[in-house]
Amino acid sequence: MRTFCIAMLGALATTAVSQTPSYQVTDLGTLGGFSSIAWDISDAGLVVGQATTNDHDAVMGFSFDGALSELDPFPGGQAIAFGVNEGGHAVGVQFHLGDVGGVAAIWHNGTTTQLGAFEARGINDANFVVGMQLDTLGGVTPVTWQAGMMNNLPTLTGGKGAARAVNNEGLIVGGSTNAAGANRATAWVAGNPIDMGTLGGQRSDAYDTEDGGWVVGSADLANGSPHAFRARMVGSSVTGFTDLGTVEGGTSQAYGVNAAGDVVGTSDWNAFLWRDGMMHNLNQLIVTQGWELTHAMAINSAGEIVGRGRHDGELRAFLLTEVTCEGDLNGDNMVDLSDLASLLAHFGTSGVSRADGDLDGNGTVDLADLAALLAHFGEVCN
Amino acid sequence: MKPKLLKKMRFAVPAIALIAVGTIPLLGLGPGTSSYIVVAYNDLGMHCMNEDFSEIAILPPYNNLRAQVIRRGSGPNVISEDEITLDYSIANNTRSADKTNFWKYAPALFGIAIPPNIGLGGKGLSGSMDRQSRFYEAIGIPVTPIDDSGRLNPYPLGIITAKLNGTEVARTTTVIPVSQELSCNLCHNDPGVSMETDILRDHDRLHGTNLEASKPVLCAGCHADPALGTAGVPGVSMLSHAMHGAHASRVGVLSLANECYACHPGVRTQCHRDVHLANGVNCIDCHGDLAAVGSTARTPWVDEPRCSNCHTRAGFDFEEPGKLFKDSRGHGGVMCVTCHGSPHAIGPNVTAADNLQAERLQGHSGVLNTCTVCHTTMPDDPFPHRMDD
Repeated sequence: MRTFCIAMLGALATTAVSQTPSYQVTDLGTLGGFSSIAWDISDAGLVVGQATTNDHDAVMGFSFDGALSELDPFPGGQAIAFGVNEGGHAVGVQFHLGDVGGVAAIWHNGTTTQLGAFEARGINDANFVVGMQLDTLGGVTPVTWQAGMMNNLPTLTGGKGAARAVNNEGLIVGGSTNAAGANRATAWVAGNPIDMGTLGGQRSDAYDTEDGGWVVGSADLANGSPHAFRARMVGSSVTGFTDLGTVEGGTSQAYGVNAAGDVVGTSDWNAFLWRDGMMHNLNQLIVTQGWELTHAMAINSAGEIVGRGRHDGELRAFLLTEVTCEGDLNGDNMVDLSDLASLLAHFGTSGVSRADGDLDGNGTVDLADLAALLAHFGEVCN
Repeated sequence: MKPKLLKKMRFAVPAIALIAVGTIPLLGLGPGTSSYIVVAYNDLGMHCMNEDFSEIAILPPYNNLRAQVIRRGSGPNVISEDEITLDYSIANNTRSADKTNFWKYAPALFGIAIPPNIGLGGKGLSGSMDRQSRFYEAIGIPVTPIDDSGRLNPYPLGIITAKLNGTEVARTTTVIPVSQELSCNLCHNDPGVSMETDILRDHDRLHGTNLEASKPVLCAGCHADPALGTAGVPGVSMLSHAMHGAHASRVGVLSLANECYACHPGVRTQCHRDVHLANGVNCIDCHGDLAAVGSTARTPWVDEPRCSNCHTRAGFDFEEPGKLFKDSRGHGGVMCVTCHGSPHAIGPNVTAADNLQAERLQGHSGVLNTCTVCHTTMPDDPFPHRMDD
């Protein structure tokens, strides 16, 4: 009987199905405190972010390249690493709690270079840094830094702005206020600010770009609800400004984009991946148990994703690496009876995750998932 | 059945009021030749909020900003007129919906669906303040301590502008303090479960409840809480009594220099940051110890320390009878807080941001005691610290 069933299931496996990615989750840990957040990842896989220490939960910048390391400490203060480039230069800010502003810094090979009184958010491979300067009057000014020279960027007519990312072509993105005081997603092309628009509402903001000109962020609908967007800068033109939708019908915000145009962010307190026109709840694509992924902050060209979530209740930075073992539900690099049993246990149920057998990410464990698993049944992956 | 809180909360939630004093131009010291100043403040000096509402809600994002506009002159007036409007915004903190899951769980917790980035009082992260009798207020601003860069900042700067018939006549900045440093995880840290689940399990075990299966849980849904305006369940202790009473004998194990910071923000936030701290006056010197605060003889949020408990000076008045410092006035209708600063942030403060307003107005931090901030000519008479002045 068992042989017969396996044979029947094998027949099903001949049905070709497309698979959504699935991910293994790595907890990046902390520096002795309770929490951590990953902000960026380079194409080489170097992760940077912030983690708390055992000093009353002070925040310090970290890098992760297989192991978590504290960036050059800032005694008595705190630090966050927001960005990293392919040269391994991490960029961020050092500050004391309650400071208005802080001191921008580059960390590289164990040394810290302070750049000046601003908050650095992004860096490209030429060590061109972008960020924002906050003053005690509530002003926020977009700035750039390179080779010891800091410059203000012009803003839209509202006079405020923040630069958050820069690509290797010199495209800078962030936000700037217009004459009505509304913050608008802004692209600086050759130093000139361009209002990227909204999705019908008043406000928008841009958070990331990549070398092909993709820009992502959030923009208000006419009803004021923020939705993640993706657009592409072609010269000085904003093209393809697209509403990426939401996971549960609420709000969304896009924080990262890679060269393939894949977008990550948060929606309704779920980390998401947007690929090929579809928003996926990353919580449904992971094979590791015990996680609630809330914010995906960056994605690199290899498809690795970093962000923050809760692991067994603790706020933790995560690294998602794509599972290359198709059909493997539990992440043991084998497609075996335990995977099949898990799928069959959830067969026909909805609202389940990839680890439960929802291999195509459509929210239900169905025949397509069963076929996908059986197509790889018995495989042992390296 | 979730309580309908919105209407009550509008008046009851003790978020933070701000006092800001502003001038044009802002960069100059003192009001100069300006005809108006605006002073803003926060009513509590700190507001706590949960970050994650999926399991437990103690306090929502809900800050109160208040301001007074003074028309300068030899006899200045505290005014609130139709022609004068006040707007507020917060520097580098323009949204909250991606910083907390409050909006996702608000319907389950508070019985109301709220648009993203809008608070329970109907206010957003920026907007106009409502005119009251000789002051303006924005109630329930849903600000979080995470700025738009993702950086933790419990002391974000509010920006308040006063306009006369649409033209700006005064501006100021002031701190809108908010913290998520509740630190329950110092004790509630069973491995493998969230802090919140650990708390609910302890409550279920000790009190025979079934809260773990009822998530998300609004603590004030059962425990009456004047802060949220909830009536609670008859026979169940008030939230303040329950929390302080239950923990009074337990936090000692942490050996904190300030036991209040086991729950109130906090060892890192240091919400008590004012001239009292600088002079060695700590939380319990004014509030009493945990057992005293948890006493059922005390009405939470009403029976609070009074300045006159310690400060005595011949000829000086302190709080108005029946009112707390944060709500009292004197000197022609000026709120006490306008000159002195918010509770827990009475100038001069340890935190630089809290001193900016006074420094900008009069050239130095501390109490606003420079007459010419409001008076265009130096008064002949000495300043009487009296309510009827």
